Amino acid sequence: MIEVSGLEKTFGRRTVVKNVTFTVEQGEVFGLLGPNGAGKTTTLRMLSTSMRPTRGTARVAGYDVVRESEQVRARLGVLPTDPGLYGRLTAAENLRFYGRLCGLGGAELERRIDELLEWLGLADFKNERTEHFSKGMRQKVALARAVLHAPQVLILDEPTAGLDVLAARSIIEFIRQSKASGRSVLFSSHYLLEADRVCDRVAIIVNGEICTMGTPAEVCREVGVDNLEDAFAYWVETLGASESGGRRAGSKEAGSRVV
Amino acid sequence: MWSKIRAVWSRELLDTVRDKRTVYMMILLPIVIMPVIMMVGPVVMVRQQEALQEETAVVAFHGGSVPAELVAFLETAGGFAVESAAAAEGAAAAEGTATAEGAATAASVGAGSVGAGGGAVDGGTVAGGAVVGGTAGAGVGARAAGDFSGEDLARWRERLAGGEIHLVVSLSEDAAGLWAAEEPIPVELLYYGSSNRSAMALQRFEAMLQAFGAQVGAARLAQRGLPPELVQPFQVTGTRDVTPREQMAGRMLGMFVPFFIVVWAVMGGMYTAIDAAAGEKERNSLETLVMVPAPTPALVLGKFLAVMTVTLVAVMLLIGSSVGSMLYIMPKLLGAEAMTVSVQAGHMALLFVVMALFVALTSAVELGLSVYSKSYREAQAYMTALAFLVMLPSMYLMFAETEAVAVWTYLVPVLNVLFIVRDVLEGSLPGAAPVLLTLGSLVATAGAALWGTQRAFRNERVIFRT
Repeated sequence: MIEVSGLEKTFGRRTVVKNVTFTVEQGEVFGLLGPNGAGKTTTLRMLSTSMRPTRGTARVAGYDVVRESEQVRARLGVLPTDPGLYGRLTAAENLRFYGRLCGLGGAELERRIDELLEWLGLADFKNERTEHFSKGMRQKVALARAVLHAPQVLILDEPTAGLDVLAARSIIEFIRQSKASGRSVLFSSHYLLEADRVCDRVAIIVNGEICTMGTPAEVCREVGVDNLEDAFAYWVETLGASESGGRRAGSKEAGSRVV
Repeated sequence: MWSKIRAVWSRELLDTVRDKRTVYMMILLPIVIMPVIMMVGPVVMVRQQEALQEETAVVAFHGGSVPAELVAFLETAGGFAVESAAAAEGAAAAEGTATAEGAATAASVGAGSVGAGGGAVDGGTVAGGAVVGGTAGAGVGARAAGDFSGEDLARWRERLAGGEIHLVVSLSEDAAGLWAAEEPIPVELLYYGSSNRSAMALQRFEAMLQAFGAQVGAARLAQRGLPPELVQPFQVTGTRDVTPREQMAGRMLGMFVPFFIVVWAVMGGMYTAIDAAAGEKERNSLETLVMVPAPTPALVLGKFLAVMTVTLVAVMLLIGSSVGSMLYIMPKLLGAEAMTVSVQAGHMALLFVVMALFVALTSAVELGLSVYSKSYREAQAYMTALAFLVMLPSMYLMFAETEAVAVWTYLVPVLNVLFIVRDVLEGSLPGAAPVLLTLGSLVATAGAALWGTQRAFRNERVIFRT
């Protein structure tokens, strides 16, 4: 569903994503884990067609993100870090607007809006302006917006950032249900526990490079630790230290581990 | 494509009508506040002038003795109170600055207070001049009119500024002798230009002096057995303005309406334009929007049409309310007849097309600036600069006489709109070439601005410029 090969992104002289390669299969939940500023969001933006890669290729649902961007966007649902809703519009009006841009309309769109709001527990707030919603409620409306057009692939950028425990749980549940319905999910996070709980495979990205990739168990085993958080800390400390110290000790080793 | 453009357009409009700032700029300001601002000045000015006409102006005499006939004329004419000599002296004593050197000559005046006096003062500066009792001629007096010392002038200035008196009439020291010899008496009039009362007193006194001069001249000619017509080779029996009322109204509208159109074409949809891109960046919805399966031109066109709709409505409302206030409400407030303006249907259609194209240009430019801006505040700064940019030529044209305009100027956006709108309202069209140049120029620049905006909308450096 997602095939990424040698993807790079450069801003001026600074390369923020370096030779990133991975695949996400149908019905798979793939976690892109990394500290702040590691290049997760830039990678996701390139896959969601809002940024153009400097080098490399990426295909989503079989379409090239550069040459066939509109086809990609038709098959992709995206949840950015910030829900980005129109505050003066109600939940239904927000969804109706995006539905129409996705080519939906009429009774079918209204049915879909009702269904999604009901599923996310927001049916009672359908006609309330979203500016009065809590962060968790806004995130749920944004999720509904992302799946409104029944996309084959979902990209979620830090979907649980800033949410309380219950709201975060409902997002994780949503990811599980998406997987169950055969959707591929690529999500970025720096919350390791939720990644451990929901991801089939993860990749740890540090300083724009993927340093390891595999199932959570494989990633832990590789560095001899028993949980994802320790594995994450190992890579961040190793590569972070090499970056700041100028010695690339970790990166050569990491390079050999890239799948 | 059209359904997506309509989706964006209707969303932007829905957002706009729910935003108090836009409603204020789009409806309240053009319909209520602008006409009120426009009418307050003239109405207050006219009312004040009327009130001043009714007020009694206090006049102080200075220098030579005042001819009794003038005093009698003033008394009959009314509207003037002449300060008594005692009052003038009292004021001078209180100030301690006056140095009257000449003999104070009392003159009895009936209108208001009585008596006038003053000393001829050395080295004075004069603020006005007139001649009483005949045709203008050089006064031959011991001391000339307006012969004030520095201190004396300062004292008069202070009294004029304080509103204690409104006018000082300085006669030549030998006024009595000149009057008796039937020679012109030089007169200097001191007034305080920044005081409306003083300026009005000057205006009325000059008119009164002219009427008195004519009366005295006629009497002197009659004494010599000569008819007054002898010194009147021409007799103006009246003046008549033959400008049709419609054209007068058109001229008045031609002064203000073009200014309103160009300025409101920027201000009217400003908040919608800012909200449509910079606002979307600030609330992080733009990133989501560019990821929807809709072609960029559809998104940009929808936003552009929304900005244009709001701006056009605001401009039309402003024009409607301004024209209504200027032609109907203001004349009624001033007690005059309502005015009408006659514009042919074809000219009106041209006016609308030019206005719509100009609104299209400003909407595209505003949207482009908004897309480029990284924040609401930055976009607001650009819009304000744009408003000032279009305001300059508008203000120039509001007051300048531009009868013969070079054809090439119709290629310059803003200027061409100002010319065409003004010409149409005044009932004259500049010809086919200027009209075509205007339309072509507006279409080309609006198209270029829209194309640039569309390019910027797909440029990640612009979209993610935060």
